[in-house]
Amino acid sequence: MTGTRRTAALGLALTVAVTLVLWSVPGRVDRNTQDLLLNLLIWIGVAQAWNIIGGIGGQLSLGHSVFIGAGGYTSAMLLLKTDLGWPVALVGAGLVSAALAWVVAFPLLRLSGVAFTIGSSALALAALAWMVTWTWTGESRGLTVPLDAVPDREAKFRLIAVLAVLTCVVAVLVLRSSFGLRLMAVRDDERAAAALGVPAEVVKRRAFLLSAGLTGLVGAAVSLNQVYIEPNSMFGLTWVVTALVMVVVGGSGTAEGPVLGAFVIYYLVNRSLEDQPMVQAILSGVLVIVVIVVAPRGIAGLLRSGVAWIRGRRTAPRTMAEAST
Amino acid sequence: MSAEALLNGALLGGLYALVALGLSLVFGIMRVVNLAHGLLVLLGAYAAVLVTDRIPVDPLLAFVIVGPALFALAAAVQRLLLQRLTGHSAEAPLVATFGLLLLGQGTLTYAFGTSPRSLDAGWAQQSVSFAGMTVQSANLVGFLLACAVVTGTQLLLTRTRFGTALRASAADPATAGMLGINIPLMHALTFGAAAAIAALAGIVYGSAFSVDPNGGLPLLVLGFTVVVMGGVGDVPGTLVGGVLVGVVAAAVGGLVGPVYSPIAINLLLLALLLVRPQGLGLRLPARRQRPAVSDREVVAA
Amino acid sequence: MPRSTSALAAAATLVLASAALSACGSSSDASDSGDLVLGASLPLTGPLGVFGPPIQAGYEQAVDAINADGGVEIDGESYQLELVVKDNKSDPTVVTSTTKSLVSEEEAVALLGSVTPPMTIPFSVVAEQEQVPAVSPLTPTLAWLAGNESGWNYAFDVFVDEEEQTAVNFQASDLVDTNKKVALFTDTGEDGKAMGALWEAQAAGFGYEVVYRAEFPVGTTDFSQFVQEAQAAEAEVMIAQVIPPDAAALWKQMKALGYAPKTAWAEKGGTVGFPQAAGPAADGAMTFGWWSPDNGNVGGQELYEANKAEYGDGLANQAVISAYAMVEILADALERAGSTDPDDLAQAIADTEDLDTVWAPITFGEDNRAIIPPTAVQWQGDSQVTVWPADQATGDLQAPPPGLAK
Repeated sequence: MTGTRRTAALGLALTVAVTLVLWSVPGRVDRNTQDLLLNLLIWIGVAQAWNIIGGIGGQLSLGHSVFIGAGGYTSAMLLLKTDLGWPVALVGAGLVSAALAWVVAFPLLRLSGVAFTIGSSALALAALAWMVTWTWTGESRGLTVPLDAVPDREAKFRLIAVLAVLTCVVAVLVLRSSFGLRLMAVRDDERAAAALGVPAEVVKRRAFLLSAGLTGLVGAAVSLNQVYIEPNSMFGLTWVVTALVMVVVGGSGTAEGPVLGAFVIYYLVNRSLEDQPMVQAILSGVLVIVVIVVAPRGIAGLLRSGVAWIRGRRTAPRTMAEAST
Repeated sequence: MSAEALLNGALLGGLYALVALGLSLVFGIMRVVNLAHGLLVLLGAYAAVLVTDRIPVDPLLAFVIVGPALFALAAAVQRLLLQRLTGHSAEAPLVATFGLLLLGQGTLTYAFGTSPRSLDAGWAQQSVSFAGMTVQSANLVGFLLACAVVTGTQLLLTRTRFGTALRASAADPATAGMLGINIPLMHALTFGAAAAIAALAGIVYGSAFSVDPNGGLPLLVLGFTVVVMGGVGDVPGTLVGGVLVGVVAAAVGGLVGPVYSPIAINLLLLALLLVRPQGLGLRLPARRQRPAVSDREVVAA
Repeated sequence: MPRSTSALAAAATLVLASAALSACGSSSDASDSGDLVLGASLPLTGPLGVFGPPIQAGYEQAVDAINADGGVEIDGESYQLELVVKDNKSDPTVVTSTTKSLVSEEEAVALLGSVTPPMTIPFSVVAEQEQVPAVSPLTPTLAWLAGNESGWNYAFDVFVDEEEQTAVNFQASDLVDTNKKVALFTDTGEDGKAMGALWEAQAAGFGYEVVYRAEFPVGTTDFSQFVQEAQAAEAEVMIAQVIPPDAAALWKQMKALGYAPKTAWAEKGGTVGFPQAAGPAADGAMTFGWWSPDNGNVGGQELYEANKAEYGDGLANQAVISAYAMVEILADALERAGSTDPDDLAQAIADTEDLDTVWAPITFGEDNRAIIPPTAVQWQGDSQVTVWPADQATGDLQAPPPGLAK
């Protein structure tokens, strides 16, 4: 009992500490570093939110671009059509994305494995095709959020930092909860889990909603950051494909994997090489292949094996075993 | 919308089937979702561009060089890269092929620039008229080639010892391995053959339309659509799926407007997945790490 | 306590990553050298990748030429220009992040833009937010204007006015005798929608009638039934506004089905490299152009000739010229402003009047647009020949287009 409580207290302290560090960033570093961190935090948010359903839940969704887009468009539309201000727009974006997820979960979650992946990508492509023709949301012209409705640079950074920390905290809580255990049981063997009385569809649906809601919040932050949004960049598959690669490279189904993956893919590959596009494209391909060959369970898996080796164990504990200890 | 439009769409479905067949084979036999499949189609077209730039022959003849070259390349990639990753997790080969897609896309951009390129084939810029209907000869050529390749592949799989061994290695790799079937060899041959078929699709595609380095993902999505509609690992089903996609796109395009074709196709795909997920063969959760009993009848027997 | 490992690890990574970024991300030597940095965010890869390299070449050549000439003189002191180019992958999201890093990391005193509203609007939005002057070539000005309802202050756009541009298709089609029936093939892109509406609105004023219009999603390959319908409607003027791969497919299918209108326009898709994309069918395809030897430019012809080997005789080369002129505009404004203060510089750009450039005389209006008169060009072999207006023509219109008629 005391152990659990101590862990919880430690986790809370860590969360507060990280939030405080990030909160104090604006003003203390130069604008460039702040911009860089901001983009990294956005990617951490997207990747970690995807990790909840894709990594921990094992449902490789290619449909999450829909929630980025829904979140971004909801907040932009709310700011354009109402005077409610960005905090309301943000909450609205999260709710709309979660509601949308609730609806599409009915067909999607009846599918599993590759069928789910293909079904979710079909949904995303249909949504994109619809958005470029929907006149109310500016069809392919897109939307420009009124500049005076957007939070200033510092507030925007803090907002995105809080969202990134929030997704990480949610991922940790899921991993440590009995809900997470059921989710991983479903991921590892759906039939066996069902035989043990785990309601697979209910568990997957909750994880999907949680993931979509968080993705919608990040999507809203993206639209606040971008100001101008249009369908192809918001609903396109780039978001979800990049998030998938980040999660797998970092370590799928772990809390630290998406953070590591976002750092490696966004900072080491995309950002550092943006003035050398050819090298960047080729190198990112090579990097993804090398990482997956050297560490099929991601950088986090590699690190865990390293830690376990130092501790004198022969093999790293598996995620399941570790989580249930 | 006319019967002519539907016929054109149906014939174009042959090309779609050619694009999808390799994807279906690789998933059906190797359980690998090859995200670089669209790239293989592009590589076929670009390789044919290189050949026809030097030797002025019909692009289809260039397949004599391009087909074996892509076969060898793909078989090598399978043996040296993907083979190492099988057994770790379903995501590992998936992500590796995504890396290949990025790598290939970058290399093609570097070598050919981002402007589209196309193959100049006489048969791709003519049309044929019969029974009062005019269809493009490119679509007809694609359809006939698809029929030939689909029939050939099906016969190979069902009527030869090699095909039996291949199906056995797909259904139960462990047992097949114990019976002396060289699984890695089987997989390398499958991947190579899938690439060669993709190259043929690329040549027809590049002749009828054009290719650009960013086309890998759209072609992959097209392939998935066709595969799911026809049934994974179901070789003749690929042709059915291709024709279905072509006809639906043409019909929706003619009746409602081409803007609504992609919406209709994707919703139809989702509906089909829901209504007949078992019948379409997509019964394996991607996460499954050990072969289960139900894997046995995946490849059409 | 193995259960807390993941939380610890996640937090540790976050902190370490932040620390690593703070440590290595901040050093930038650009400002130390005393050079004035011009930052460009260009589509070097991705679907718009054909436009990036010629624009980059124009910026580079202009910067080199100005530096060789002693640089820019500000308040009695000479400064060299330094160009920093970042690839935005033709993705509006990346446009935003690269443009921000041009301002914050490279400390650019001014920004240089690229093509199309989806690239230039987010680019200009960053310029407004960061309050750094920015000029863009090759982005239709009305669509750009509509991208910010509150009006642009730091961002400027130099290109054609769409109402004049869409008129060109009819004015140049008047060069040949047609039945004045028009078929429109437009895509769902922002420009496809906007131009499509303008063509429909303007046709009657020029004595034309739109008899057929089809709208396509980006990425369409099968155009056959729509080509057949345009053919059945007897449209002798055909205007398409689709992306390059789609235009290639469309032209091949027009040829296969024997549809040879008197004038066939491949706007957007046929701008650069169309003969490689569509093969022999491309011969005779037309688009609007934005430069000609006799449009009142100063020094443009020389630059055009110098770039012929690399960028050919056509719109890619015209894009080099447009980009070159952006740097000329900035250099002139910097000297007049007498400082690099963003507000002074923006004001100086806005005050630009009748400035001689390699592109055309440049004057900015109240709305921060400088309007360039459009021309009509036609693919003849591997060159694009200016065929309209008559006093600027470098060749005669070939009608019907040989690639489709043969």
